[in-house]
Amino acid sequence: MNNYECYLHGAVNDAQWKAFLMSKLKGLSTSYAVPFHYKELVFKSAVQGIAQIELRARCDLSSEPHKWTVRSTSLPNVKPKMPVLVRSVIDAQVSDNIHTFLELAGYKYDYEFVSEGTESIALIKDRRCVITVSKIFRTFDGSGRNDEDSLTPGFSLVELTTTATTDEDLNHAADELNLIAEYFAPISLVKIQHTQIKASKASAQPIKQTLAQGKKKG
Amino acid sequence: MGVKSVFHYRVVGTDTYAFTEMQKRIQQLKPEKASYPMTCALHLSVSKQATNDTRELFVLTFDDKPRKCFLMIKDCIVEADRDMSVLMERTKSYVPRQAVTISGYQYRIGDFMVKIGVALLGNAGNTRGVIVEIEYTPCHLIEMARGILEEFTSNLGPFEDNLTPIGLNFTERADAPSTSGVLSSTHVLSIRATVQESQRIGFHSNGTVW
Repeated sequence: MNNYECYLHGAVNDAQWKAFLMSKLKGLSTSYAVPFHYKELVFKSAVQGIAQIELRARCDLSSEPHKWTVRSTSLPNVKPKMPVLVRSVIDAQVSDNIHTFLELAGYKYDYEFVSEGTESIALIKDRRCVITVSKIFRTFDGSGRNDEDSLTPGFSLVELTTTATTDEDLNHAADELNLIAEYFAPISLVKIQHTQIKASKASAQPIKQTLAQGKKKG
Repeated sequence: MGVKSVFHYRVVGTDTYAFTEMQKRIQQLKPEKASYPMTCALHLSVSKQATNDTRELFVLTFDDKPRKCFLMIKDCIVEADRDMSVLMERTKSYVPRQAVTISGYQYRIGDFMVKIGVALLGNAGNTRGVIVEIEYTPCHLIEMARGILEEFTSNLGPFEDNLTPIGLNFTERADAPSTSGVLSSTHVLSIRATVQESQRIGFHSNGTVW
């Protein structure tokens, strides 16, 4: 069964997040924001002759013993008339020797990072929408999350996601996700194409500028 | 977890006499009986032309564990959700080849756990032998359990000449992966041997002393 994930991304500075975003989340969520602390390892296929595939092994550092999940996502499907980005997602819980397994399977360890923040769940028309607010840290020793190690200094990333199983359901999910995104105004949650971010990074444009462009379009 | 030994009984054609005979003998001991269905699918990596190194991925599924699967490459076994096999197929770095289904029963006889199943290859269901796994549960020291297991095996029937030992083990090692214990290395070795033999690519015992 295919699992489509609709998603929108945004970023807010920390002061705004504490004062405004959390109050919005409290009003919207069906439960308290649940803190999470993940380490994510990214593997890329080393097989020649096929399109390079990325697998993400996520370790839940807040659970004991640590739970591991592997995620495969397709490239985002960008439809101009659809207000959100869509990707096909497969998640699978795995045992803790997944690092060794993936390397034996021909995947090459690429990089890793730590993600820490909160996850809130909102039910809109019986649809489960997940709002994550997180900060990203680099990991020198596997556990570092000092401010000095932050890859997002001064601001937090916001992700809004929901899932759909059929093409028909996908349109409804996209509309409902867009509806929630509007609830967070003036915080802008937009369709960010990561390929464009890479391009803008190459030309020394900061992420904020890309976000600002998305905001104008929105 | 006790000490296990696994055997592959070779058969000719569709002869399952050994399977039936072993079942009869075990039934006389009035064991607790349960079904023992499992499937092992072999996937080969597509990187053969690039690196001249074909990797073999074995995906094992048990009917009584509908949400779980076990994946094995070389000696690394990962316990995962069933979606993991879908995920590996989606990456297109492995192509499915043959699948072996083992259909049989597991019996608990006092301190022994015996699993017997007929290995069937592919959709055609060609019989490729009988897999027998015997576990002596109270003991985890191989040398102490060896004699007991040998004696128990000899009582299963006059098949010793055709029984090929696949492995003797299998206490959990401290550095073993954190699989749930549902799957032991013996399961994988037995199925891997069957699949490999079916493909006529050879099989090497893992140094068992049986």
